[in-house]
Amino acid sequence: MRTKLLSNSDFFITPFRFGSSAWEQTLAPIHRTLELLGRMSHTAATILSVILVAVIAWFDYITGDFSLALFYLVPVVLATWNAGPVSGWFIGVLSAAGWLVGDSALSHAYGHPLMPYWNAAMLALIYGIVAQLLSTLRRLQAELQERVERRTAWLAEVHHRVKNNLQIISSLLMLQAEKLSNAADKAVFDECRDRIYSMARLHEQLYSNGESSDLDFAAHLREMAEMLVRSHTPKGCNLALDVHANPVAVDLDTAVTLGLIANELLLNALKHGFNGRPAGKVTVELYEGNRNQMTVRDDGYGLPPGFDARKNAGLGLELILGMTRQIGGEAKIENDPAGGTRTTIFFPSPTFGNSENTTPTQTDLP
Amino acid sequence: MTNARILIVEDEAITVSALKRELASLGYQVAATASTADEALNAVELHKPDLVLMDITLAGTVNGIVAAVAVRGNYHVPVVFLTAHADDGTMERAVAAGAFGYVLKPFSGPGLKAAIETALHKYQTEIESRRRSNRAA
Repeated sequence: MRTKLLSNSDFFITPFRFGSSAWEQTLAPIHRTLELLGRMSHTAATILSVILVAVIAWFDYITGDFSLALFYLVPVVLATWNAGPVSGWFIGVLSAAGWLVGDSALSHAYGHPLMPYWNAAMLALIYGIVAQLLSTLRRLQAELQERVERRTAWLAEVHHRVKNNLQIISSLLMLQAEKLSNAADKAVFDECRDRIYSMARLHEQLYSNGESSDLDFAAHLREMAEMLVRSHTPKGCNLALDVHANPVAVDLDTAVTLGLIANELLLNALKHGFNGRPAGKVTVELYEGNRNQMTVRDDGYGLPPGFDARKNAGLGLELILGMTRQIGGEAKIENDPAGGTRTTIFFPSPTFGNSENTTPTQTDLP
Repeated sequence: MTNARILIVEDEAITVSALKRELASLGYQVAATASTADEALNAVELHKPDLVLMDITLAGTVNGIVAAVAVRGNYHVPVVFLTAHADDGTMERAVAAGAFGYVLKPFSGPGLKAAIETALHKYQTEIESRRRSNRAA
């Protein structure tokens, strides 16, 4: 049985969305009205404009001395917006004629008999100029909208490419790792895949955030910790994860670096903290403050006696220290009084306005 | 439901290779692979998989969401999307297409397993509920 497929367009209709800034919110009703008017056919808009001119001219005629010249702009705008500048000019001239009819009802003592015709011609010219400017505005608006739509589609495509490429890199690492016989070597590749995964999730959050460049790092930290504990818990160990993460807004650069630091800390805890133990607990904390604070704590074996991070730093620790300096923060690695290892990363908070002036301080190492 | 037979619909060869191994290591069988919507429909008909793991962007002119609608409509096989698209619009369209779940790229083993197991369980529940309502009628 062969099945007839629908076309992609049945499912991929992405309407242009008017933005949500205060300025755009204020203009939204006007935008919606113009959109409604824009849906009228050219002929309908022109006929409606002619009727409006007639109605205004009639009012102009019966109200006598009150000038209604400004009101003729309504049909001029309607005709121009919907049917283009030629229609706008036509309605402009018609409006001037309507004004002339209204004016004829008055007994003005003009200095010259041609004066009312001159005034009507001036009005026609003003209406025409308005029509011309409005049609230019509309054309520019349409071009801008098209450009925004193209850029949005392009951004979505770039995002898609980035994610797909990260998937391909991750897949290649997995396929390469398969050729290795040594479990420790394989683990190195797995760790690389975890790092890629962490970066991809942040990239995704950035894309989902739309125009905001700040990310909720707490949500990311929680997801990453759960994923790592699920996939790296030592065999035979009943491991609990406790996450206390308050929402902390950080920019993408800081978030990626912090994510990688958290990745390393969690992997260290999972790799070295609990081997051979029947149970354990990993605690992750994130607090906002004058200096933000991220802590990864385990109740495992703790640091080896005589451990000196400056001398014994493996790649993981070297990365942690380097990346902490990179974000202007400091790291404190110590044995937890309750047992196990506790690492705290202090990093500057943009909320407290010290993100740019923070001088990296001495890292507190055992 | 380990040992479930899964059809992979994905146009990136490297990702397909990684998926095959990941699924095997999670205890599933790969029934077949396809890279276009047409191939996917043929493979579903031929191999009758328990679940289809479907990329949204496929080779050819028809995307995975459209293919999923056809798979669901004609063969009643649950579909889990494997996708790099994470925007709300795509997710809404995926749900509208009858998705039983989705996995974001790059995938992780635990994430993949959770999505597949949830989808299979949901599908079983749906079938049983349909049987019960048929009997009641």
